[in-house]
Amino acid sequence: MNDAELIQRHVHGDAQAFNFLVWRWQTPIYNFCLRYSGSRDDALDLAQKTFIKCYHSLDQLNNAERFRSWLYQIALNQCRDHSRNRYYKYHVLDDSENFGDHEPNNVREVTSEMGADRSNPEWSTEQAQLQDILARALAELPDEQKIVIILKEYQDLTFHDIAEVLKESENTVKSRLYYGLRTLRKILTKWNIDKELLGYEM
Amino acid sequence: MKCDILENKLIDYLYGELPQEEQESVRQHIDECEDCRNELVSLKQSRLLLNKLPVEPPPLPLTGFAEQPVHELSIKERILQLIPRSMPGRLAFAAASFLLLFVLAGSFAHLKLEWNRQSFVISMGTQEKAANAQLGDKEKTALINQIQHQDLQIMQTLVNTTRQQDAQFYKQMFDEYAYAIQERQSEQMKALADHINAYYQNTNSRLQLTDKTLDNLIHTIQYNN
Repeated sequence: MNDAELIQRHVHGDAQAFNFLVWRWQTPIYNFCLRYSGSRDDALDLAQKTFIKCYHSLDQLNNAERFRSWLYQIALNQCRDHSRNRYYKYHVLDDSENFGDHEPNNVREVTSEMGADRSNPEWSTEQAQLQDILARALAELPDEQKIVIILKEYQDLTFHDIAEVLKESENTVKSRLYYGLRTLRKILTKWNIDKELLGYEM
Repeated sequence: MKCDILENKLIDYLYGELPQEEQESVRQHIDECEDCRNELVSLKQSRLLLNKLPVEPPPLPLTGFAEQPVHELSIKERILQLIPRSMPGRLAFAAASFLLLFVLAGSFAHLKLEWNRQSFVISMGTQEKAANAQLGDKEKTALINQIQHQDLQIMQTLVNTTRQQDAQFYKQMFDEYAYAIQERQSEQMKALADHINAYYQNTNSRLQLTDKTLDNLIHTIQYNN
């Protein structure tokens, strides 16, 4: 049963169909929000909001084949609204803060809850450390580069799909990805991240 | 990058999204060009790092939206649904089409409009026919039974078809659930195995280190004596 059929059933009043749809997409959408926001609590909240929004406007989706990119667009909007609100909460209300160099403090704020999930004994401290570092590095990237990286690396979309989600050309998407990956390297080099800790093998 | 190969081509190559011939030609170029080779290595390293972050299932399932009662659409709403929202005078159009439907249906059923002195009478031709036929009681009962029997058959067919469709739907969904659960389990097992492996190697190397230190210690003691 593909998404289009489930949507069809939902529109015709089958309450279970939407649950199946959520069940199928909850992990990708949650992970998208998680990588964007860097916080598990926020990600859960954002994913929930995404599906509520989706529930209320599903009948406005003209082409069911475009459901996936449409869903990502909703999630992306939720994430952007969230980070905008967060920015105002932390910076506009606080006059003493300088707009230009707000990031270093904020990065730690944003990602402090990431990384070590202490409730999971399977995760070693090393892995938690690594996750923390990567989450912080992602948060330092410019928004547009970060989004492309998340969609490509963690959501496995093709360039064509990403272009559809972002309403940009494929070439723009590719060049953002290229600069995103480069910036990421630069950030990690700047932080003197120990190669052995990251343990990458070529 | 100094080279004339475009950055986007390199990205395409990195993610294997080029047609096979182009993929091959880029590969050949990379074999020859050191700049591009280094660039590609650097990009690959970034990707490897990013892939260290695992996909996590949400801590709480997001399903379980409240089941909403199915909203029965009235005829007016159904007609309204067929008309584009942006159309001006939508309501009037709906009313007109409803009236048209009524008249059309009436013409098929031998609708008769009569204007009496007291009232405006609308009667269906079929009813009149049946009434005029002056059937006996037995015949009436037989007719009613026949109609009831036909209705029952139609209902049964409908119910059966719906049941079959639902059963098929739920079976498919069940299969998908089962598959996903199996996949998740195997992922967890793999993660556990990796962890145990890493732990084992760590312990091993520490033991070797201890051995070495002990060796050194023994040597030192012997030498000192």
